[in-house]
Amino acid sequence: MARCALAFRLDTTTGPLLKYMLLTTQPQEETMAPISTQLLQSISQELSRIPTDQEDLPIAAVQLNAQMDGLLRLDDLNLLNVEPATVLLPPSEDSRGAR
Amino acid sequence: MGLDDLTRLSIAEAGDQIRRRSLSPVELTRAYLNRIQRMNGEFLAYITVLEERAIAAASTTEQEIARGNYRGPLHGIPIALKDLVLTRGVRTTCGSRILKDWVPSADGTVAIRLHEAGAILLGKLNMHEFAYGPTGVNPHYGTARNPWDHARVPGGSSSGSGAAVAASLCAGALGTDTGGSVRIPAALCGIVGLKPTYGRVSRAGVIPLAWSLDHVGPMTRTVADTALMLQALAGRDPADPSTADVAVPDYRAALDKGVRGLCVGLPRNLFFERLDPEVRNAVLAAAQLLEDLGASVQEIALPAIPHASAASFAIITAESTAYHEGYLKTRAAEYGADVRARLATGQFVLATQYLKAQRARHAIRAEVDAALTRVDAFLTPTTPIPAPLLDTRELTLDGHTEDVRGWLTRCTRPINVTGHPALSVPCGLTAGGLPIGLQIVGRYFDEATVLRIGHAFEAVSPMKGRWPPEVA
Repeated sequence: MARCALAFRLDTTTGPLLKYMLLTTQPQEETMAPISTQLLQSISQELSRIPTDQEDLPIAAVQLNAQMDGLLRLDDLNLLNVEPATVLLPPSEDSRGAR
Repeated sequence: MGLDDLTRLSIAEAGDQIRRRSLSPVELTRAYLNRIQRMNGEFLAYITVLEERAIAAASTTEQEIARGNYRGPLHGIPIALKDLVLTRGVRTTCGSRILKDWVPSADGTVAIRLHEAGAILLGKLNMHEFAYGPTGVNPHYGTARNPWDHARVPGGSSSGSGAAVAASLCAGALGTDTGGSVRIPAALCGIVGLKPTYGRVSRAGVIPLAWSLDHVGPMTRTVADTALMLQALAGRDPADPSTADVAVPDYRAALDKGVRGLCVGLPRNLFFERLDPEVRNAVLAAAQLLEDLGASVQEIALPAIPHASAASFAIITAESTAYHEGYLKTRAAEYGADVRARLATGQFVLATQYLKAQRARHAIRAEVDAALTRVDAFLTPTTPIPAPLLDTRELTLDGHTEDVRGWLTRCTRPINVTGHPALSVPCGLTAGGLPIGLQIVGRYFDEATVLRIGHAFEAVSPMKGRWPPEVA
């Protein structure tokens, strides 16, 4: 249960988000849609329910970043005709079978 | 014959002697237990050794055979299971602290099938925690050692299976393979490992890592022994809806047909990029040897295969985190740091990414299938590198730096994504004395051809007759 206290909370990591806003040259209203405190708190509440230890987040971020390009490149495959897989079935037997 | 000599017999050799009653299953089991007692402290291959139970089972087996009830080539053969296969009355830790005292009340289907074939269970084998990693590094039970160099990992996640088979601490073992976890330790430890077709072998009663990518497969010292174990394991299981109702052929009968007339492919992209030069040379030399034996070899193109890595990532992270969600909420501190961080990653993979990965998987699978209409099987290295040192985190090769997990799984995980059968066979040693694995990938449910090619190659392989250095 002690781990729950360390669970990820958006309100403890808002620093970098604010810095990002300061670094932009455009006015705030052009770069970000206004987000109400209430909405932020609501998002924070939802995220805090994710059972993740803060100390694992930097590693998770590195792992996600390392795969992000690859995940985006999946769009290069022609997936329009592929049905979403909701049930995974074993492949069918090769028509020629074992020799 | 000395006790250690008995443990060097292949399953086929020992089985033949047991059938002729020139070898006692009790004597053979004692030989393995004796060796485990002397050497497991060095190799850390076993988490649990079932000494009394194994002797009792061997004794019963001996009486059965004496009465004329010989069950087949696994009858009286001492084997071991990766410690994620459920065993009734025997603790099943999954290499974790969380399950360190868990004693299942039922056996997994594969344990039942091996038991019914007459195999003797020696114990439960070490592994990467919850099968979530290709090195075998384990903070809870110690890391199993590579019998060829104790300063190096045996590969994972079936690390204990690889180490135990290579060091003759069992005649054969079971591993599981979600991104290469049978084939990677097989390659790094210089043994044979088979990931069968998805749906060929039941996963009922096996703790999952990622449901849609998990496979159970045998690990042995010869291809013929892998065929014997697969024979006992394969087939539809009502307890596992993912198993297919496809006829199981006589794998051993197909072994000796040779490779004359077969066509094998070499896919140059992905599998042959950024390789340790010694690995590249050994695999290309293996292709040449198969050509010398009468097979034809041709290059094939698999342009979509590089997408398999991202698809595999999204599927493994999402499915494994879904499975572990309960423990993450209540016992997160008991996970090893590397596995907990990987499970944390899964919390942030989007459902859309997961579904896209599953759809991509069908496209990749179709491409590999199409290539396998032009060739009977294709060859790749099993791993681009030989066994890394225990504390290796990253490796740089050809100016490219990558996490060691990425290096080890590059050639194996695409085949989990497609579900085709894939065999790793030893094909050489580096100048430093480390084994190199050749991966042979075949058509769905055509393990027979994959084994046939592996068996033909094994007879001429530079690894023929090579054993790891004995423990001093």
